[in-house]
Parts: sequence; structure tokens; C-alpha cells
Amino acid sequence: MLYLAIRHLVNRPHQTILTFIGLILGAAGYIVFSGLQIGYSDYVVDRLVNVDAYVRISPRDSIINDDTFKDIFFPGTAVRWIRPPSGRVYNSYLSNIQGWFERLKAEPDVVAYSPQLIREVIFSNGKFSYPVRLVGINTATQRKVTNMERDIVEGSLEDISRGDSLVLIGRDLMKRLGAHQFGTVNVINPDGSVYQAKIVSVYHTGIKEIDYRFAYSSLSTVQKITRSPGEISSIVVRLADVNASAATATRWQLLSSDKVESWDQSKEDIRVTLKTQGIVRNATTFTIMLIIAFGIYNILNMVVNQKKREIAILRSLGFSERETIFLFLVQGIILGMGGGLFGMLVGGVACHYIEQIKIGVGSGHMPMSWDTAIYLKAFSIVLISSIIASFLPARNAGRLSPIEIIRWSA
Amino acid sequence: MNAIDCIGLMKSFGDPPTEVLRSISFSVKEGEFVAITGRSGSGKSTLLYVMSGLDDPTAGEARLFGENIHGLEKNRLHRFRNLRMGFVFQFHYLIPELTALDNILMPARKYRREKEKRPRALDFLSQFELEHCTAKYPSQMSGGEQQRVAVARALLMEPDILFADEPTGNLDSVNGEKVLRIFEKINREHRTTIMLVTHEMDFAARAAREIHLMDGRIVYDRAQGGVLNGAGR
Ligand SMILES: Nc1ncnc2c1ncn2[C@@H]1O[C@H](COP(=O)(O)OP(=O)(O)OP(=O)(O)O)[C@@H](O)[C@H]1O
Ligand SMILES: [Mg+2]
Repeated sequence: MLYLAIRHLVNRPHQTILTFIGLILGAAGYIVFSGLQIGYSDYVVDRLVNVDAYVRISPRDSIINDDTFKDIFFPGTAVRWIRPPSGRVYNSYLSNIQGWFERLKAEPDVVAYSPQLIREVIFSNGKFSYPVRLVGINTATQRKVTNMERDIVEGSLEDISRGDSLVLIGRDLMKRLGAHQFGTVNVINPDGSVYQAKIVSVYHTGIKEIDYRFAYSSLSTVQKITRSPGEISSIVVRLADVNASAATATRWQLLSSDKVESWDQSKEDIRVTLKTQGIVRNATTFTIMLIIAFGIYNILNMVVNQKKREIAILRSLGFSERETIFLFLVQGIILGMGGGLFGMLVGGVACHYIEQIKIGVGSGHMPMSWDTAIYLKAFSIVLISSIIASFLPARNAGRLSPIEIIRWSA
Repeated sequence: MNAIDCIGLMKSFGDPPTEVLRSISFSVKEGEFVAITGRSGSGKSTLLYVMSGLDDPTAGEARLFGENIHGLEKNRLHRFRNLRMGFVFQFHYLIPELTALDNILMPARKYRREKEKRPRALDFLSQFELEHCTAKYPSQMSGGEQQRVAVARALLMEPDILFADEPTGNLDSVNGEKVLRIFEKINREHRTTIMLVTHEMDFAARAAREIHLMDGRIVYDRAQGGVLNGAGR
């Protein structure tokens, strides 16, 4: 039957080739589309994770209201305020750092974590001065949590831990300050005190909000400059699975009064964008499946109608209903497999060329995902829709009564 | 053992039912060559389909070599058809995608015996003057050649019974004669039982036995000495 199925396909080359092209385009289209979308979202996620880590634990600013003082001044009595308390408590440090460290160490999903001290300062050089968010990091652990090392263009991350008052700064900010590598800049504290820091390394992410705003130094340097000895203002965490970030953050949030946020929770707009993309991708998948299925269904239905006499004779030769179904089903499977395989190839080649297209951000060319899951999914989509679409005509062929056909076509 | 036993076969179509076969009973011994004749619409084809198991009877039983063909489990019926029955129809029903040789070998593919049967297929091609057609497709052959390929296909698995429904109906007398010669030879040499529905008086006369139908009844059976219970004549 397989032999006959192949002969069938070979003997209607136009239909076969057209169906084939349809399937290839379906698979390749899905691959290019998903590759670009996932490539883009990976790129965005990567960028965000780069600066923000998967999960960030930071102090919570609490709002003061009636409840804040409940049972404090007059325990057990209902208190009515003439003027209710209001305001905001600024917490610049975490509640229980040691507790956090122990928990993070015990969590199996945690790949790495690193303490940070973040302070707002002003960098100045000559007549130029700009506000900068100075992040004190532990280079040894920080490099395991974020991918920031990748963006370093001069020097290295390690360099800032090789001494005191050494900073890593964005190339854009450095140019804006009129400074250069191994030069010094002034770091001005909110209280007015001034320190000198030496630029030892330079990074460039391509994202202006980061490149102009963030500078890094060792934890001890930032603690010293901002006069906050021993202080830590946040912990950044890397998990085994980036997609588990939100769920993990939510879980930890229940355990502590500190603020625990995943990269996507802190960036609502991005999260919505990525989610929308996911929906569009699924809708596209569905559409592709529908088109493929419809095409194959139509063609095989027509073929079954044309082949009624042969189906009848096959039955009279002792071939069973099931073998008849197989004859047509296998044609769908062959088309689906071939179309899927070539589609993966064509999709891969197309992705390769699209990736070469130069754009101005990030690595300088189109972000493209090479995730094998995309290719497997494209293959399965094509194969599964082919099988489903060929099953109906095949079953109809199996149900044909040979005797009716022989009687009426004689 | 008898090759065929038909016991009270009835077949009616539609609603209200029109009876096409009215209680047909007869037996055919192994190796007999039986011609089934009768006017158009007398039920010849219907009888052939019902007794070969292609169609179900409304009542009655058809036994092939003692097996109630309509009571067989599906897969056994398919196996029985593949290995022990051959069919030839008025129209050849060759598969246009396959060459003459592959068409003949088609029944052997059910049990992947095409290699084993190949010499036999080639032998048929030469016996039936079809050697020049071996690699030709049906569309490249004449009607007579196509029909002989169909006969070869029906005979490939060395069936015990060959059912033929007007196999010469579409052929001129020369080609019709060729097909009939094949039937006679197979019947003589392999003792294949042959049930041949035909319009040709000449062919019917050459058969060892003739069963004549009229309005769904057997009115004449030559093997049993002529007119049956006087009915219809
Ligand atoms: N599926 C069916 N539904 C209704 N009536 C049918 C059906 N098949 C056959 N008949 C009727 O049964 C009768 C016998 O048909 P059958 O084909 O057996 O005749 P036949 O003897 O083979 O005729 P011919 O020599 O023309 O082939 C005819 O009157 C035909 O119209
Ligand atoms: Mg007929």
C-alpha cells in the first residue's frame, strides 16, 4: 500500500508539488515568524535581566495610615484620630539580610544571588555633571546573576574590585562627561561630600536609559562613599528558569515584608507586550494549521473521489477497509513529513539571512531565536495538521462500499 | 467438497423492496466451469456479487468450500478474497499509476509476497501475449490488453474460484475469444472453478454447465438435465 501511495503522489506531480510548497511555506513561515518574535522577546528579556536580574528583593516603602499605629498607643481600644496620620516611611535597607541569604541558599531553583547597594549620586567632570545611579556590587557573585559582563567594552568587571574607588561606567555617560578610561571623575553625595573615582571599565548596552544612568563600583566603595557602612539595599537573584521568575517572586513575597519583584512584574508594559506577542503567535499557529489542513483535505477528498473505482477493485482483491484508509492517510503523512522537514530547512535558511539584516540596536543585527523547540513545533504543526486533514478523506475511502462503485460504474 | 453452495439466496433492493433474487439454490463442484446467463436485469450480476461475498444477501446463505462467506470475520474474509477468489469485471479497473506488471502484482502486496509472485506474473504476461506491455501503463494499452492484465491480476494468487462478470462485454470478438481461452486453460490446467456471467451464447455453450436466470430465478440448469420445474419456460 505504501508503494501505491507513493505512486499516487508521484503521478499527480502538480498537486503534490503545490501541496508540498504550501506545507513548506507553512512550516518556514512559522519558523521565521516565531524566530523573530521569540528572538525579540529573548532580546528584551535578556536586556531586562541584564540590569534587573530575574528577581530583585528590595526594601518596601510603606505608607503610613490609621493601621500603622493600631494597638501601639492605646492597646485594645478603638482610636479615633482627629487628624489621621499620613506619610511615607523610607526604608533604604533590607529587613533581614541574613535571613534572605539563608533562604536563597536553601532554594533549589536559585542559581545565584548577589547583594547590592544602590545610591543616587552625581558624577561630575569639569563643568559637566549628571545624576547617576551608583550600584555597589560584589563582582564575584554579580557575574553569576546577570549577563552584564557581556556588555563591557573596555576593561573587565573584575577590575572594579581590584581597589578602592574604581568604577564601571557607560560609554555614553563617559563621553558626555568628557572623561576617558583610567581618568577620574568626581562623585558627589546628596549631602554634598565629594569623592574621586577612577574609571577602570566601560560598558555599552545600547539602551540609553541604562548607558547614561548606571555606574557600578564595589560594594565597599559605595558603602564608603555614601557613608552607609555594612548596608545592603537589595539582593538580585538568578533562577534556573527565567519563566518561573514571577511565580517565585510572588511566593517569596508572602514570606517577607520586603518587596520581591520579578523582572516582568516590575515592567508591566513589557510583560503585556510579550503576552500579546504570545497570543499573536498562537493565533498564527492556528491559522497556519487551518490553511494546511484545508488544503490537504480538499486535495485528498478530490483524489478519493477520482479513485473510487480503484478503491473498489482493491477491496475486491482482498484489501481491507483499514488498508484503504492507510493508502490515503499515508499520503498525508508523507506530505506532512516531507513538507515539515523541508520547511525546517527553508525556515532555517530564511532565518539565517534575516538575522544578517543590520539594525542599530543590541548586537547590531536582527534578533533571532534558534531555539530547537520552534523547529520541532513547526514540524509537528505541519505533520499533525496533515494527518488530521487526510484522516477524514481516508476514512471516507475506507467506508466506500466496493459493490456500489462496481455496480454503478460498469 | 463443493466449491459453492447457495442455499435459498434472496436479495431485494429498496423500499418497498423489489426482489432481484428469489430463493436461489444450487451447488457447484470444484473445478466446474459455469456460465450464468439471462436477460439484462435478470439478476446475474447481483447473484455473482452475493455468492462471492461482495454483497450481502437479504436471506439465505452462500458457502464457499464449506465456509459461510457472509459469516466470516472481516479479516478472514479479506484473506479469503485475497488468496482464494479472483474477480474480473466488465470494466478492467486497472490502477492507472501502475505498470501492467505492478498491476498484476498488486494482490501479492497485501502479504508482501510481490517478490515471490513475480515469476508467475511474468509468466502470465508471456502466456497472455502481453510481454510488450510489461512496463506500460494502462493508458498505453488497448482494451483487450487491459482486460487480459486484469485477468492475470485475478489469477495471480492462484485462486480456487474465479468470478467474472461479463469480462468480454467491452471487447471485440477476437479479444473476447482470447480471454475465454485463458479461462478455459486455467480451468483445465489448475481445476480453478469458474463462474462466468456472460451474454455470449457461444461462450455459454462452451461452458460445461449453464445456469440461466429469469427474474431472479434459475429457470434452466444444463448440468441437471435442462429445464427446472418448468418455471418460466
Ligand atoms: N443497488 C440497487 N438498488 C436497486 N436496484 C438494483 C440495485 N442493483 C441492482 N438492482 C436491480 O436489480 C436488477 C438486477 O440487476 P443485475 O445487475 O443483477 O442484472 P444483470 O442480470 O446483471 O443485468 P445486465 O445483464 O444488464 O448486467 C435490475 O433490475 C436492477 O435494476
Ligand atoms: Mg450485470
